[in-house]
Amino acid sequence: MLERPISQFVDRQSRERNVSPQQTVAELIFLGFETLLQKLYSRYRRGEISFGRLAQELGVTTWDLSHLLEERGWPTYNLPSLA
Amino acid sequence: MSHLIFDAGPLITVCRFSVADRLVIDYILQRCEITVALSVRDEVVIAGASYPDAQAARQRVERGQIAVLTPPSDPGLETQIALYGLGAGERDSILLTEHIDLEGATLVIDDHLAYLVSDRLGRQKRFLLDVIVYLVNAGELDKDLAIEMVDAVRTRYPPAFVEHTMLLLRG
Repeated sequence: MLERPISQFVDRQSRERNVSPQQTVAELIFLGFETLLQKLYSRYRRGEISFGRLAQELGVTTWDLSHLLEERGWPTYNLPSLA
Repeated sequence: MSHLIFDAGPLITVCRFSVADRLVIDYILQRCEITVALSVRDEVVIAGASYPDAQAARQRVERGQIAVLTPPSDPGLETQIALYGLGAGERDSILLTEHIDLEGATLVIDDHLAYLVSDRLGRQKRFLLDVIVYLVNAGELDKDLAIEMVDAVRTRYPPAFVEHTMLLLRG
């Protein structure tokens, strides 16, 4: 059960874009995952969390994470580098 | 022959990149014994079906070329490591350095935080790039081959680390 502001947003978005509510929710989940990934990845690149911890937080294996980052063209390392 | 404990990060690297149609891990295995923690092995098995590099690691585990060990229980050390919130594989790889059969083994770890933690704990550790340099200096690896290996894995490291390694090798 979605909270009221979210369910209203889903209904309106679905009507305006002529897509199903399920598709809108799926897109929101994707956006949420990407936002979480970017937030955690920033912490990883700053050396605040390790590669393994980043994988655990995202619920994936280190192998999954390695491929996931490469698919996005993001460096897989967190050793210090010049800007 | 050197004994190395590989964390997942460098294990992925050596199973992913090739030189002359041969995976980097096979050049390392020819010269070193490799052991991984049980949790690192488990990740290889889980991911093994999905990715060619994980399959390469799994095959070498199944053939016994990569040994798998459970880290010894050390509550004091575990408490210290837990402060940093490392992943299970990094934690177990550091704990594995305490294993009675791995005295003198070098932990191969490329993660910044995990490297710092292992340094604070006084563990013998190296980046994978430094393992390659070490093997050259020990006369166990041809310099030109080492340069090709570093070039093959360069995307996994910041440019300064790669160029520094190249300078050390070309010395």
